[in-house]
Amino acid sequence: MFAYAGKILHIDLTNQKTRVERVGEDFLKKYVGGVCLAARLAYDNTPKGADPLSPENALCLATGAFCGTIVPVGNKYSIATKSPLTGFIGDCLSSSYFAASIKRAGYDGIAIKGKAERPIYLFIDDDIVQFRDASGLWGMETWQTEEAIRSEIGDETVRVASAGPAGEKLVLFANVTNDRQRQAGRTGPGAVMGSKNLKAIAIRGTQPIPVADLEGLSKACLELSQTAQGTKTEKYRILGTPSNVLTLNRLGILPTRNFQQGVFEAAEKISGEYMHEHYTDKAVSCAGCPIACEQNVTVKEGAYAGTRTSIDYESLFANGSLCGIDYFPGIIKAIELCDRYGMDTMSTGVTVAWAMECFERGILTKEDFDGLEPYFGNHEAATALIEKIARREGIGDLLAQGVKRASEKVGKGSKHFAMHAKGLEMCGYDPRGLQTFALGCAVGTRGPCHNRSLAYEPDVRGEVDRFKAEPGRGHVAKDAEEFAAILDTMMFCKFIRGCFKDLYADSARLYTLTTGIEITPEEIKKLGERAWNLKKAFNIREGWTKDDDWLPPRFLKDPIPEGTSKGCVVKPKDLRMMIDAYYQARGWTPEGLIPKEKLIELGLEDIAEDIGV
Amino acid sequence: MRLTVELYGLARQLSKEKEVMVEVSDDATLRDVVAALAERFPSFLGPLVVPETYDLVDPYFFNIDGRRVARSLDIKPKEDEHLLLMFVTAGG
Repeated sequence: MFAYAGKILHIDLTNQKTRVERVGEDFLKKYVGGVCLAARLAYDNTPKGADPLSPENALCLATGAFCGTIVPVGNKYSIATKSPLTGFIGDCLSSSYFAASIKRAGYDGIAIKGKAERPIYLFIDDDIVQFRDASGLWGMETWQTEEAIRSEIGDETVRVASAGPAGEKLVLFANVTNDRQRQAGRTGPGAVMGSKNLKAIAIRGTQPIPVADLEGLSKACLELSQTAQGTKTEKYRILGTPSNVLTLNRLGILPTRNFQQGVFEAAEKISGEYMHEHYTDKAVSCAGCPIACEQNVTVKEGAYAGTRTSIDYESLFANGSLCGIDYFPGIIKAIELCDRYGMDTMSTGVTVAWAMECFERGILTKEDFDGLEPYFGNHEAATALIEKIARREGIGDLLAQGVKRASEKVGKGSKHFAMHAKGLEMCGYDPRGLQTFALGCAVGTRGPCHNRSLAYEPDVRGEVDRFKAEPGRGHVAKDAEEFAAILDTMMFCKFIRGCFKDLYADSARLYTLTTGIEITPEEIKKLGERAWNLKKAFNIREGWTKDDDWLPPRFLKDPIPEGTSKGCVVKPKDLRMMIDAYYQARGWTPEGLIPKEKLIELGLEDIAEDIGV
Repeated sequence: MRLTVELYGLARQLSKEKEVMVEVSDDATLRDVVAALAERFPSFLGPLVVPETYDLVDPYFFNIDGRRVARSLDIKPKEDEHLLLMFVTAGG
């Protein structure tokens, strides 16, 4: 077998036992890797109805076929687990050296269940798995944890993925951090680690990863790398994704002050261009990436001098315009705190913005905030709230549960502006001015996500009229989801997607050169549909109903008040019409359930028996 | 006619301008606008503009007034329209 290890490592934290499951070519060709493989592992290893924070919930990691090889941007891994934030599938992606280490240690995937009696960390040293005491690490920030583990093991090449203090405290949007500044960010996998008393996973992988046709693969990879260093990715290299701030602001869809506005009057001051001029040190890359999109920034003076982190658009909007904050050092500080404590910057920013609106509307008072006055724009209050959330102190205990639960507890009309779907906080594109993406946000299996539904692209690029809802958007959204699912299963970074002449044919070619397994472009295309249906099946098994595919009230009732998208709203009847069309495009029932025949067609016969109708 | 072109991302980096006025003939197409921009900012040629054809390099495109995307450079803009030379990134 080439490129694949053919092994899944199962770890039981309760009994401190491990076992290795052998998987064959047929299984690996069907699930390939990444999101699809991780979702399959989560489906198989988490029993129906499991509490996400219980020992029964499995935390599943999966690499991809290209991981650890010379294929550019292939060093990625996925985590899938039952999300404590949504109660549905929580599938995340991260990248870099930790991912390659999993494969080099000899595993395609890892499934972790149970709960350790006391804090531990795992040290996977090729074939040997050690359950090590982590009592000395408990409470440590993510960056410190990595260094401490490497120091304890005495090997700088050991790679670490860890939960921060937020994960230990079961902040529901706690993330998993690896290689210092890469995160499996959304849906709360860090809280799942915390619930298992699992502080970190350290890996030393030393095994070679042979590929089927090294000469052919080298040639293909050189071509892809050269394209990836050309004009098609220049937008990522120069400013990174923060370049979105000004364009989305101009289109009137830059989420501002908790989605009360789509235009931020101070957008220039939080733009990628401003960041580049004043704060960027350098752009860095993940392991094996020719693009280098990640913008490392440092605050050089003032109260936050010395604060360093990396910034992308989603972190920037959530902790910037969404909170009405135009003080860039304050935004950098907020993101740095999230990274150190191990919290999703997006959910954190959206939650802080909700708290700010509660404060401005008098729903929550200065007393509720322990003396803080978190009006929009108050960066000091925002960073103080982030500290409270991470420690679950005072109001932080409420906010640590995300906006869905917090608004249900606070009431007083605050659910109207709790900006989430399925319990996951919104991403940084106002769907009122992007009608196809509105559909994508409503039906997303993990909640609203720009990375799982690329449906904003046809809207922004003018392939469809972004202001108009119509039945044809069902197919558009489906295709965008499956395109993303293929990237997430092949484990290509999305930033390289513009470099393929034909994603399906190019992926098939690279896959065969790497693994020696023949696969056709049609089979690659089917893979995206299989991955999406697999995740949906997980949700159906966990009690999903049609009512879960919906948007927060603000998007349905409050038109965007100004700017290019002024007056835009998602009309409930339009959303219902598009959702119905989407179910039809997917071959699902009008209730959004999956027919047995569809699951059998996708090779998911056992799941057809479980949840098919 | 005179047209306002708003510059984003790489276009702004290369030109050091947020917005420029472009003078073109009344029956000019967007390709003529691209040519005028390239003449004014030669550094656009290559990274932003295909020198031989004056096509915009993928992923750059024109949005008109922030409301609709020009699907072709053969479109004839109207006076007073704002042309946004832009792109959108994904992910992060």
